[in-house]
Amino acid sequence: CQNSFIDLQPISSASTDNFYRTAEDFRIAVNGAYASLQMGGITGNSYVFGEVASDNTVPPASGSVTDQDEFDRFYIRTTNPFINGRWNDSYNAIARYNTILDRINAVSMDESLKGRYIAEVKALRAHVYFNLVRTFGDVPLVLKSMTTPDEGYAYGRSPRTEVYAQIEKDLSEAEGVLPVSYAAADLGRVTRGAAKALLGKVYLTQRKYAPAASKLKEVIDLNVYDLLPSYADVFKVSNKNNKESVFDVQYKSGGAGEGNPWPNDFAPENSGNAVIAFGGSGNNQPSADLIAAYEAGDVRKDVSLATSYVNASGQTIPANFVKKYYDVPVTRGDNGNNIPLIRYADVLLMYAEALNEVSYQPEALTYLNRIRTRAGLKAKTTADVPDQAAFRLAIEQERRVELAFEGHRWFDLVRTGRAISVINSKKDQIRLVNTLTENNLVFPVPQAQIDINRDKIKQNPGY
Amino acid sequence: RSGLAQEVLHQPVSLNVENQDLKAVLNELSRAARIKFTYVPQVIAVENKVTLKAKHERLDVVLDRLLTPLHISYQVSGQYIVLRKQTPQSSTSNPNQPFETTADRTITGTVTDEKGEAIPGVSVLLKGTQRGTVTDPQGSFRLAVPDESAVLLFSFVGYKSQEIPVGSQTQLSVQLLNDETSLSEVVVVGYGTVRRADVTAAIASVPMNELKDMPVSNAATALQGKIAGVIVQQNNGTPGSTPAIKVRGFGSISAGNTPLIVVDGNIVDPNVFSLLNSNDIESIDVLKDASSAAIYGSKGSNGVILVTTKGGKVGKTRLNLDVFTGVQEVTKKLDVLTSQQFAEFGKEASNNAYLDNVPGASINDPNPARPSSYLRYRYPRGEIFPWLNFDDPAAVAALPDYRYQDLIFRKARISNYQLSVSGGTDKVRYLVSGGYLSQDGIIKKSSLDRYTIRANVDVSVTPKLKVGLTLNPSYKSQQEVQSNGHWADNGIINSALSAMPFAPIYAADGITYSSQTALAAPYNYPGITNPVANINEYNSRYTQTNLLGNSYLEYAFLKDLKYRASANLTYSGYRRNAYRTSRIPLNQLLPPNLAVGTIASDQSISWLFNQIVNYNKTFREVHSLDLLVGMESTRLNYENSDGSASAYANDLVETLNASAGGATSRVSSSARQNASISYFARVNYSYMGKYLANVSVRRDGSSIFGSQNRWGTFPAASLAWRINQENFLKNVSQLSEAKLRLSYGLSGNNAFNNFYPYVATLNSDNYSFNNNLVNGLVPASLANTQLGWEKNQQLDAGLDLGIFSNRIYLVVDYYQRITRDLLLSVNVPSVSGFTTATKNIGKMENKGWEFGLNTRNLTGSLTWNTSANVSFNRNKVLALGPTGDPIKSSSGIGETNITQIGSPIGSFYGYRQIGIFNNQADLDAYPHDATSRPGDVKYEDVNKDGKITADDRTLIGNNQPDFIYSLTNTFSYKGFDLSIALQGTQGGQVLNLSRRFFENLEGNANQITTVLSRWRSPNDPGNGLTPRANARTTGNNNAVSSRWVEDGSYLRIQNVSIGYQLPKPWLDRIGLEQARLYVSGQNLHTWTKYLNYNPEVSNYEGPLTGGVDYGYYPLARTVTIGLNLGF
Repeated sequence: CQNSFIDLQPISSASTDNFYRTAEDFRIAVNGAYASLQMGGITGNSYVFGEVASDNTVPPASGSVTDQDEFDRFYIRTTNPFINGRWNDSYNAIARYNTILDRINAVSMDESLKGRYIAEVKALRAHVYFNLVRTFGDVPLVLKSMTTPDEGYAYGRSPRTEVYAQIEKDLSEAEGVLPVSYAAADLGRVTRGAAKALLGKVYLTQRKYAPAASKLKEVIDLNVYDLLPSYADVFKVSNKNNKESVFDVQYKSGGAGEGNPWPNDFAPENSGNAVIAFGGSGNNQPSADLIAAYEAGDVRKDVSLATSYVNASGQTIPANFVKKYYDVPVTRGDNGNNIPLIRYADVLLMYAEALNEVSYQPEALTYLNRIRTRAGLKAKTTADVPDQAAFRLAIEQERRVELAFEGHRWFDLVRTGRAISVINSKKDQIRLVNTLTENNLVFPVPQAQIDINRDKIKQNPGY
Repeated sequence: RSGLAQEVLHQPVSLNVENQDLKAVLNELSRAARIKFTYVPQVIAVENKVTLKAKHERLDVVLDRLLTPLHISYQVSGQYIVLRKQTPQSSTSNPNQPFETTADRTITGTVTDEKGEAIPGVSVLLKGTQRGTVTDPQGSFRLAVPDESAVLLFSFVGYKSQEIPVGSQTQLSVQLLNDETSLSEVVVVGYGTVRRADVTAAIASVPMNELKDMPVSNAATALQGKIAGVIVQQNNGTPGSTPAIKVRGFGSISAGNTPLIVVDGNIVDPNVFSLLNSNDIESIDVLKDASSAAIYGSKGSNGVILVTTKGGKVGKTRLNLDVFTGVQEVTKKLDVLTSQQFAEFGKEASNNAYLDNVPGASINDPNPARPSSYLRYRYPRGEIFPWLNFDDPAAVAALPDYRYQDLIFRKARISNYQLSVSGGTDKVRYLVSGGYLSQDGIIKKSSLDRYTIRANVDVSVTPKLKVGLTLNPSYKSQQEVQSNGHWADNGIINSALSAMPFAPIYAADGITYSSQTALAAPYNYPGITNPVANINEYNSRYTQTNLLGNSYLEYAFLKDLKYRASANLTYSGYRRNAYRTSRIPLNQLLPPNLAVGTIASDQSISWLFNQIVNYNKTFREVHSLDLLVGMESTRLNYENSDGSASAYANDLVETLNASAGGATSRVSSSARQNASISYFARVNYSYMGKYLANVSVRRDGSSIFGSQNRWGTFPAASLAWRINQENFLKNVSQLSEAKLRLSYGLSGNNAFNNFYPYVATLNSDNYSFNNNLVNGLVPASLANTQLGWEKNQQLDAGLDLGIFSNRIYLVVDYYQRITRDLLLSVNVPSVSGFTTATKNIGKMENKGWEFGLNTRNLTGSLTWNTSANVSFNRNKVLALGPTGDPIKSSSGIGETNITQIGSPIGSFYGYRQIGIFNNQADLDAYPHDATSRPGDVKYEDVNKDGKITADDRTLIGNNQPDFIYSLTNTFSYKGFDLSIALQGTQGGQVLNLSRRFFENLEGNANQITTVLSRWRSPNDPGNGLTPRANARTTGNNNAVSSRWVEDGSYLRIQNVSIGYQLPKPWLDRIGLEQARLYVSGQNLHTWTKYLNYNPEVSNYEGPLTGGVDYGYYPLARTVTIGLNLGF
């Protein structure tokens, strides 16, 4: 009686003890796994790594908060909160995935659904590890859930080859099981095409060009994806999960806390309601260099960015800002746009890149030109790109403008080995604090994680 | 006076005793009738056995029946009934007649108190004989003595006894000294009371008389400085806000540090202090050491504050009226830049950023020539607003200069009214009081209205059965303002200090609010909100209802054996209706904006039930024993709900019903509970009042902890030795008290803000598939079934020393407090999925000295009393998590505090500034940040690796003072009284993080005038600490560093009050019992070097982040006049 008097269970939060038991529990748990995609460290702040660090964008005008300026101008401090966020959020997501994978086998439920859930979660885990390994290099490879926090002390950093091997394994297992498409109510889940495209990208990143080319070709051969005729339509809120979308992070406006913050994040500071309702934070501002990179007549430029706006008093205010994601939010940050992780245009360009790396071949040009012609530009000929090296640069240029502000530029430059030369060549425009070296191709490991486990976690060289 | 005597004698008493000694019967009678008997024991044979039966009879009738057969006469004298031996030749009508006048000399004299007033009823005894008398109503006596060697012994309850050798004198004038620290005074301890003389532990009683005139809306505020070892920190000047209270330093890291607050047996939240009327408080006792607090077991580790409210007394009905009213104003305003100073500064900041970043730039380049990608390269040059042109001296001189601080602060009024009625008979005693406090805040619009009612009733149902009831309903209504917080969130103070002094208040129409946003876009200035609108356009009415209820039943099975059961209920609920109108400028957004209505409410019901059996007996006159066993159970049920909506058509109706609802509305609710059950026992033993011992043990079970570790046992013991009672000291007449105390014990802590920290919980994290919302659940924490009590072991050694009839009374304590198995939300490798987990880890020490000194310097018609105390506490972390890694904590802006082994908890953590790089040569000569330029801050290369990195951050200060002290002097002369209380702390530091706003030198928000001493050029280096103005900060200048760590020492005139007690004859004429008028000043002056409003501020009050000031509601200076009337 005494003990029951003081044995109280939480009222307003569930306990893991009575969860993870039924098929319905796992449906909800897998939803929670997908929810991890929206985390700041995974997608929400991904532009800091993919765009601000590159030559595409510059951070907002802030005097004392240098967190993004450190990425822009390469003096990233080991205490940088974006570094922390990427590491901590990624492992929080991985714990969600591992918990599901560890517990689902014990539950009796529809085996095909169980298999699909496992495949979805493995694909998500591969996605998160792929971001981690590209961001930090060697990272701890955690593949099972922990019951006590002390187990975390056992994990040091695994060599990136091991991490890539696990990513390939997860994706290979997933792609065979995942469906090619889902019913409307389930659009947004990982598809077979998404897993293949991601695996293609993983191969490409490791410079395994032949497997990359064949995997990406499999995506094309699924025949479920196509480019939309209008570039602008690709990003319209009303046009979510269209034929060009291979894998998107899903958002929904309407006050449920599921909105996309980017449209407000990227509108200019002090623009009031002139650019977007509830104003903007001025993040991820297109650089002059990127603006100049658009060829004349490229329809993508005006869809993607603007260089001024007219304010409520009728004054024209010069400001470079991202326009690609635009919605009319009900409250600040509550926009309905999805954020594309893999678009079919990306698949086509990666395929072209992989083919060209296997050997210089005209076939690669057709994929590049599909992108160009949709953008209102004239197709390139073999005369324009006479050799493998020229084609590489053409792909690089096309990816930069086609996929601008979608988080690819920095990782593209690293993948192609061009990051050091490209960024250093623009050091005056970027006002680089430090000249880039090999060390800068991965970012520093969070200081806090080193401090807490000094024996196992060591800093990357140069930081 | 005779009327009073009649009242005493006519009160009805009931008694039923058979064959008991007279002494016991007199004791019974004095209890029943709330009177005291005084007599010379050697004269009155109190050991005579008597029998007495009385049922609701008048006291004089009963006394006649009891005393006449024994030849004892009686007379009422004040509160006393004086007993005298009747001699055959004297009659009761002539009580002044001394008896047995057989000797040769007669001594006459008078006995007075310190004020010179006669004391009737004083026992006068010829030492070594049974011969004696008592003084008459005029304080006179006559006594025959045999010779000049005679010694007279004068004694009276409440006064120090005196021996006077007669010598050749025949006329004596004797003054008895009030026994103020009166050792017979009762001290409240857990589940009982004990005589001050018998106290074995570190227990301090608040001197209530020093609190009486303080015009405070929170009773806890008045405790500041009153008790050695107790820190009361007023970190917020919001009317009614409860200060932070700590006893003997920080006892915990993650669990609470606030002492347990017990009001009349109810364990309550500290915020209850804001609902108590100071006038209703009879006493406040603080249990500081483990041996006294251990009776509260798991809840006592941070000390216990016991508040006892006033009850009724037997006697005529008394009516008291207390009223005060006064004015408050802010104690200080900050010096900020004028518009003209700002223009020069803002221009310099923009130019420096431009020169730094654009090769070939010149400060003469016009705005359009400066790149648009970074607009802070540009500064106002009249392009858009002709009046705003930093280049035009005439325009600069004509800039408006709004003194925003003057626009947000005001002189505010405070008034308090309280009426109480009390009285009682032998059956029923009662006190009923009602109070109303009305206080306007010094920030415009903020206010507090508080209504309190208290009814305390005690009923003696039969001589053996007593029941009682206390009801204390209270209601308060506050108009809240958003005083604190960032300007971006419409914080009033932050926006008033940050807004550029020429930022417009209104738009051109003179009605619509404007803000700095109107000027911002061309220069990308921040959209600092409008301080005036932040006050006017946000309404938040907060109402709170509380009910403290307490009932008990006490049954005396035997004279020495009592049972008491008490049940307590605390209900507390609040409701907040807030509305932000469409007229308010928001960060970067000029009005109209979306109006937002929010509603929040909560309800907390807790009950506590305990039963105690108490056995109290003295054996053979020398062994006295007090035994107590008991049990207690508690339960708390808490729920809250809130909602918000923003689809309002207009601002006419502010409640949520006026909103269209839909996607912009939100509702939420949650509930939680906890429970505990406890068993406890205590033994007090005293041998001849000389050797004292106390042993207690408590066993607690709490729902907070893991199933493996739910129960904890907390033993404690203490010893005291009253050395002055020993024969070798008995004759040292200067020594009135000398007591050595030693205690050791274990107590616990479960004041954890997490109700279920041991459970692995799930959080919801939702997602959508193709625009369909789907619910998701994800792990939120890891389980820890081992989670258990935080243990606090404390050693205390103390000395109580009274000399010269206790005119000098000193209390010294040394303590060492070690907390182990700290309930710690400890960092764990985030590869586990979580960055922190709750564990029992680590060890921390607090040790220190406390000195309290009370002196009665003058005792004549001019009295002067002084009380002073000083306390030293040293806090040190002894052990932390498994790897001993430090805990870095964030407040406001990244990591600001560190808790590491060997240092005080929550020390400030950052770079140490060692100067300013004055020129390029300086820069080349010392490691610096990659972005540093001349004029930037020079940080110390602490690890000497030739680089300035995050690893160079180090300890840069600590909020915990070296010592805290206070000094109170009270004077009285005739009817006048004067009290002066000073209070201060020394050696603590404050991280003035607000300087991140108003001393960031970015040139886009107003600054404090320290920036006038900034570095301008190698030839004009300023004060060597303040870096250059720069719109794009370089050199990591605004990282958390020692630049913002300031000395938080202060000395404050806490209170000065002057009162006048109207003379008796005047009062008699107007039919008043008593009347006193006073003037009181609170917080009159503070001496400090601290730059912000209040050196006590800590926004992030909590052990890990103490001492961080991010802008809070400042304190008020209050001057009031007051009146106490008694009818």
